[in-house]
Amino acid sequence: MNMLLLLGAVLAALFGCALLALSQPRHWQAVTRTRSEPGRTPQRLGWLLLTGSIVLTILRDGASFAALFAPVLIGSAVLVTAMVLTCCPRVLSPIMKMIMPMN
Amino acid sequence: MPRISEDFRQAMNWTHTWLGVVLGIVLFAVFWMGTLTIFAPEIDRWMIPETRIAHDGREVSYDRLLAQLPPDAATSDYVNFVVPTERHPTIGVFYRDSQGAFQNLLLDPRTGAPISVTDSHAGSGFIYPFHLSLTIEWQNLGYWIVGLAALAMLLLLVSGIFVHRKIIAELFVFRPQRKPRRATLDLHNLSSLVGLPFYILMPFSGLLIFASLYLPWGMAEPFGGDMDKAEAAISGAYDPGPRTGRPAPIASLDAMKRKAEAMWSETEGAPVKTNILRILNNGDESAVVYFRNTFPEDRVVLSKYVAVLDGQSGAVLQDFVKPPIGEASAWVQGAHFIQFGHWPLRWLYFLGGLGGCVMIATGNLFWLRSREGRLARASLGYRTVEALTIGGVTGIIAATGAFFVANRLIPADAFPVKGARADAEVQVFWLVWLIAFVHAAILRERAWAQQAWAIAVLAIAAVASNAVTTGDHIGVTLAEGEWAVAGMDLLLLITAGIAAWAAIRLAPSPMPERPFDPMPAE
Repeated sequence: MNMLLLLGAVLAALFGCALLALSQPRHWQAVTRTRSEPGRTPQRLGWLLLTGSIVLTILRDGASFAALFAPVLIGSAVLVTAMVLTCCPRVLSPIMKMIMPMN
Repeated sequence: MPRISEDFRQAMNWTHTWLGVVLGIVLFAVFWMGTLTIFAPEIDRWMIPETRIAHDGREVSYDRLLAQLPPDAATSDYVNFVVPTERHPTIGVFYRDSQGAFQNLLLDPRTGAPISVTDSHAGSGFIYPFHLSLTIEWQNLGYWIVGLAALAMLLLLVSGIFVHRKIIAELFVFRPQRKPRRATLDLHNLSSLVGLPFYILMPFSGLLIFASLYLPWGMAEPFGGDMDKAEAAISGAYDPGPRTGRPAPIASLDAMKRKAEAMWSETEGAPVKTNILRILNNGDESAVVYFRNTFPEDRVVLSKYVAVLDGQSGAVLQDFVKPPIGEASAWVQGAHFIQFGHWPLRWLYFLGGLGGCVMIATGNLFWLRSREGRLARASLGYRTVEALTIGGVTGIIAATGAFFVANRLIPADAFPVKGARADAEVQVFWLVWLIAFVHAAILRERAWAQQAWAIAVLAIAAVASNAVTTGDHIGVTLAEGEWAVAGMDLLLLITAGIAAWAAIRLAPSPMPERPFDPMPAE
C-alpha cells in the first residue's frame, strides 16, 4: 500500500508539472508545433494533480513528513519536466492529445 | 498588487550579486559537504571496511558489553554506548581514559569484541564537521563563518526572488542551445526555483540548530544567564554531581534500559528505543545511567525522551520530556539532521543538495559570463573570482575524490602515531584543494576541463582501490546486499561519467581567441 501511495504521489507530481508546463503557450506550441493556445484545462488539471500528489504524501507519511516530502518531490518533477521540454518536448504529446478533447 | 520599483529591484540585484560573489564558494563548500553528509554513515562503511557488518537487529546486552570492555574503558568514570542501527551496525563506545582524554572504540555487535578499524575520520569525522564548521575550530570561527553563509543564503534567496522578473513564465525553461550566458542564467533560475523551499529550510534550520552558539544570551536570559541551566531545560542534560569516592558496582544496565523504554513507550503509545546509553560517575556510589532516544526512525521531530536512573537502585532520577517550545524547534532540527528512516525523502534531499550546488556554481559562473566580453576579464577581481569559482566547484569535488582514494591507499602502518593516518587523509584533501585553486589561477578557464578529468579519474580510482584493497567490488556488494558500499561505488561511477562528459564539453575549442568581442546586451 505504501509503495502504491508513493508511486501515485510521484506520478501525480510528474503529470501535474507536465500539465502546468503545457498550460504555458510557449511549451504548448513547442509540443503541438502549432500556434494554438492551450486553454484552461491543462492548468486546472495540473493543479488538481499536484494537490492530489500532496494528499497522497500526507496519506502515506502523515503531515510532518509530507511537509518535507511534497515540496522536494514537486521540485524534482519540475526539474524533470524542464529537462524533457529541453531535450524532447514531443514526449509530452500523448498528454497533450489526452487533454485536447477536454479543452 | 503593488508594483516593485526599479530602484528596489536594483538594490536587490546588487545585494544578490555581491553576496553571491563574496560568499558563493563558502556556500558551495557547505552545501557540497552537507549533501555528502546525508550519506555519512554509508561513507563511513565504505571508508572503514571493518564496519561492513550486517545489522541483524538482535538485542545487545550492555551488562555483558561493560564486563567485556578493555580495562581502561571499563573503569572509566564516563562510558557512552551508541546503540547499533541498520545504518550504524557497530556499537560505538566513547569513554574518558585515565589521563582524562576521550577515546573511541567500535564493538562488534555479534561478539562485543572491539574491532580493529582503519584509522579514518571518514564521513562522520571529517565530511560532517566540515559541513558544520569547515573544521576551523579556533574560537568557533568556522561555525560563525558557516552561520554567516547561512544567513547570506537566506538573503540571496529573498533578493533573488525580487531580481527575477518572470519566475512563473520561466519556471520550466532551460535553453542550453542559447549563448552560454543565457544558458547559465536559465540553469541558475531553474535550479533555484525547483528547490526553493528546501534551500530556505536548510540555512534556517542550520541557524536554529546553533542558536545557542550564535545567540547564547537570549537563550540563557530566562535562566538568569546560566547556559548550563538553559541546556538542561531544553535538552535534558543531567549533572550527577561530584564522585563520593566510595566504590560501588553498577546495577543491571539491561534492566534499567528496559525500564526507561517501557516508560517512554507508555507515554508515546508506541515502542520507543534507546539510542544512547551513558554511565556517569561509573564505579562510584554516585553513578547514574542516562538513556536517550535521539533520532526516531518514524518521525521528523527529534525525540523528546531522556531518562536518568540511579546506578545502584535503578530508581528514576529524571524523566525528561521536552517542553512544547523545544518540540516545535525539534521538527525543524529533525528536518535538517535527516536521521529518520525515510529513504525516498533521503534521496530527494540528496538531489536537492546537488541542486543547491548547481544553483551556487551557476550563480558565480553567470557573474563571470556577464563580464567575459569586457575588458574587466583581465582585472585582478575577475581573475580572483574565476580562480575561486573553478577551485571552489570542481576543486572541492576533486579534493573529495582524493580524500576517498587516500583512504584506500595510505597503508595502515604508514604512521607510527595514532591518529596520524586519519589526519593524513584530511591533509590530502586540503592539499588537492589548494592545488586546484593554484591550477585555476594559472590556467584560467582551461582548468575547468582538466579538473573535471581529475574528478573522473579520482572517482574511478576510488572504486578500483576499494575493490582491490577490500575485495568488495560492485559485483560482490550488490550480490550480498551491502547497499551502503554498492551505492557509494555506483555514485562514484556516475560522478566519473558526468565529470568525463563535462570535461569533453568544457574542453576549449581550437578556435583562436579573439582579442576583444563585446557581447551585446540581451
